[in-house]
Amino acid sequence: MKGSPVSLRISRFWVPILSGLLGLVLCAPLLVLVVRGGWLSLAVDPQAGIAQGLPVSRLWDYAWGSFAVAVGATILATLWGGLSAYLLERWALPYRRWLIMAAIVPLATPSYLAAYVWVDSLVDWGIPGGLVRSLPSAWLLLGLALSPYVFLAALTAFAQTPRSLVDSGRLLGCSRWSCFWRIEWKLAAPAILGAALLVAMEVLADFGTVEHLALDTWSTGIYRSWNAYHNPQQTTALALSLLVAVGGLAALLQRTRLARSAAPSGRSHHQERRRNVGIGAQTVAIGGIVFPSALLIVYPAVVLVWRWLTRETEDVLPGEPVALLWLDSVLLALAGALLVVITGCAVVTLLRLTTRGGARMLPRLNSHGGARVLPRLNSHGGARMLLRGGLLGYALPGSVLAVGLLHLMTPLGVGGSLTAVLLAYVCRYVTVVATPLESAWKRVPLQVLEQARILGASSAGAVVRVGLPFVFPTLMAGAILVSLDVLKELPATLLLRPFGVDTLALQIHALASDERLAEAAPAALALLLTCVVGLTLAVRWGAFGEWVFRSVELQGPEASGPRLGTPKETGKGDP
Amino acid sequence: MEDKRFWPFVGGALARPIALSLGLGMMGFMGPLSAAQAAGSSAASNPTRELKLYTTRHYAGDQRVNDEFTKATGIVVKTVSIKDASALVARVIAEKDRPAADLVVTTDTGNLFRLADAGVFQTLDSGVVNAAVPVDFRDPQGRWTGVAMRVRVIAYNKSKIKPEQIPTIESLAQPELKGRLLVRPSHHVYNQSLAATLLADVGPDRLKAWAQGVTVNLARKPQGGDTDQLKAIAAGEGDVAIVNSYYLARLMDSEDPKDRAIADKIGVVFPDQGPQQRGVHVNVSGVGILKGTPAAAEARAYVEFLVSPLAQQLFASASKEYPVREDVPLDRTLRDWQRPRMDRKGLRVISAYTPEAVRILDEAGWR
Repeated sequence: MKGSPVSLRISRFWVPILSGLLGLVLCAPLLVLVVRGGWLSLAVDPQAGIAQGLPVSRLWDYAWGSFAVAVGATILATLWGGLSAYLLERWALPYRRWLIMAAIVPLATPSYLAAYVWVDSLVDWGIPGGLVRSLPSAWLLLGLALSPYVFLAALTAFAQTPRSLVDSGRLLGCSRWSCFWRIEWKLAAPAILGAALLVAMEVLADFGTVEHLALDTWSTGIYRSWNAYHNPQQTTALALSLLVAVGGLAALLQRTRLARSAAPSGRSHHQERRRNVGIGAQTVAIGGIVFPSALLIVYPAVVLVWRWLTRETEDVLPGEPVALLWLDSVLLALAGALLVVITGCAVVTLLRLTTRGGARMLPRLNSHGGARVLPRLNSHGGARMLLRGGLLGYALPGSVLAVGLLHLMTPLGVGGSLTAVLLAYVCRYVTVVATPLESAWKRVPLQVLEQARILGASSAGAVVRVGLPFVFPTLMAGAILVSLDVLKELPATLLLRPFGVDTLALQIHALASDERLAEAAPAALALLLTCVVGLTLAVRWGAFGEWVFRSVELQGPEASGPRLGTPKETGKGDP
Repeated sequence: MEDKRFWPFVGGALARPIALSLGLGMMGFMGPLSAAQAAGSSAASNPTRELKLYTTRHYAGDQRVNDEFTKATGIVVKTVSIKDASALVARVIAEKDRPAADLVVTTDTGNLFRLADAGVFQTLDSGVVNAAVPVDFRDPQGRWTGVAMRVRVIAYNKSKIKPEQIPTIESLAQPELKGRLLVRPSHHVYNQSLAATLLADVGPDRLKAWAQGVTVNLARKPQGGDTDQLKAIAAGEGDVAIVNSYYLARLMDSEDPKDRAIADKIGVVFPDQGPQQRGVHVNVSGVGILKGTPAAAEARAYVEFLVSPLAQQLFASASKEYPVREDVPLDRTLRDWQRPRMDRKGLRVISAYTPEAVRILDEAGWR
């Protein structure tokens, strides 16, 4: 094949079959519901399912609720994350490394835990419940919990903006504000807006927080049609609509990412001259940057510890002790992560193998030498679409996914079992690994693989022995992120778990939703701690762009990495 | 590769072994986990050792009951608590042909009827149960039995409301209570069942009028659980609330002085007690034995234990529910309230009338 040093001679027969099968497995829960729930009959006779379901008038309330929460939370997340990133990048603030970690850490925490503690503690202080369980609370909790997405995108973007551009602007007479608006914002906007879209997607899919705050959103509507009306057709229809909405946002996101793909990925090249500001401004900046973690992690932890220490009841708690729960949760998380990583690799491999030309594992070069990133629908398009559809499992409400799997797995005899639970995790979280892996793979330099082939490696060998180490950090980071997601997961674990398995998240939810927060405290603290530690590890291993972490250590010209050709730097002593 | 860029963690040389051992460790742990699960399922074929139970309840009292049962018989009771009743029902019905458990315990008659009508229960055929539990609190066809009861009462702020103002559930729609009523969201099963019995008694038009009146009288949008309504009364957000009896009883009996302070401010009315009226809304937690379980004898022993005086006493004192056995003394908190006249007829019609009741509530605007 022209121009490609690596080609896997895999029969054209197997690739689409495998892709199709894997895609089917990933899409299975939803397909089962659609078929069994008789949604197809709903399409034929629209009134059939709705008659005993949510009144259509309420659907408008739910849609409006989702919209209101999403808009407010996204705006808050964008402003907070963007501003924090800008201040960190442009101002000389002390403890920079810690501040970056503090800004990222809220991502790890289960937002429903923060919601439980928020509501409980504020009502305890005497604030009327009606004020606490309201839209602004949702904006605050969700917006700050998701602001790390925007923070990271903005940090990357602002760091990659050469300072010289700003200096030139100032020299040419722009005011500071004008410089920001016309130069830095313009360059950073695609990344930041892309992250904002991601935040919106997450907010739309959120259930636990808005339910606890007694807000009417689409996700609570789905739950209500399932729980109160027992109407599977309507539930599936509503879930599919949510999927479409989120999928649409994801497609939009894909476009902004595409726009951004032209920007260089990699290290910052500018010198680190940051503006010195007075101590007052520094304090305010640090306070603002740290506020999300303070609100979502430190405050709940303090409240939980206080509640536990001052609890009056010594009732025997049902279920296992916290240590056993923790072990169960962590093992489940690790097992889930392993499976998801394997599946993610398989998905990415099959996706790349179904690009045009068949079996090529390398990014195609377009005529300008840049990487072509548009997915192509072609001879294996159907299989590809199934795979891509499988990646949308993330947007499906957990309970819908769980019920679909239940109906699928029970006839096979593995209804309530580890197999079912793990499969649910795979369907739900494969995208957390597959999507970054895809972009990471595209960044693997072509010539290294070429050189491997030249030196005698087989195609598969080149990919595994040379290419894989390039993406290994992304894989490990993805694995940890999936573990964190599984740790926090509720609906699928609740429904599909076998006897003898109980997780921290389930215990917390059972107790806290029964207004017994003090008894939930040990489990909640264990979960919080594990999530924070896990995220720290993930960042250490380059979860969010490996250089984001490294960039704190970069000091000047050495930052650009080894330069080829200089014997001293490459470490080879050869003259 | 010397370039440390791609090995940002503990030095390049160690990375691969770490990852390998992590992977092998995961696989290693999977072994015991699945072995435990396999052992669990094989134990089902060894029926004298354990019973498996699905439950929607998550109370400490239930654990004590199970421990007492184990002490008495040596049979261990393992539970999977699925708090979401719809999920529990879905799982049990999905597993109809291959039940993974032996018993189901759930907190609402509606759920019990749904499970029974789906054919998952076997008939109990137990003389002990028939003698201990009044016929109104068991399935007419003998597929399940109630083990504990709760009633839905009206709680009020003693300093602001007189009990004569709120003698019935329907009186909560009166204009005098505008902006003073607190209740949890309509879609919760406790309110659904209440509305269903009301619908069966007074018909759809009066139910709709009542629901609209309630919505107008709300002090704040329906939110939180029953205990939140009680705390809101104490905090002054509202003056009247609809709650389940055991929430108030729990507050009254709590070891936390703050809870007791809240309970001191609150009085309770058992509605609809008049001679021509239906009685206070009652709902039962019940248990049924799944068809096809290999441990049917043990399961029956468990059910009979649940309706024995010992277990009934534990239910009463731990979770403050009313025992179904009439010869068991009430917990001291409930004793002051005495046994109210309960809407026994309503119990049977809950599952039939719930869908329409829910729709009427939603259309009336009670979120």
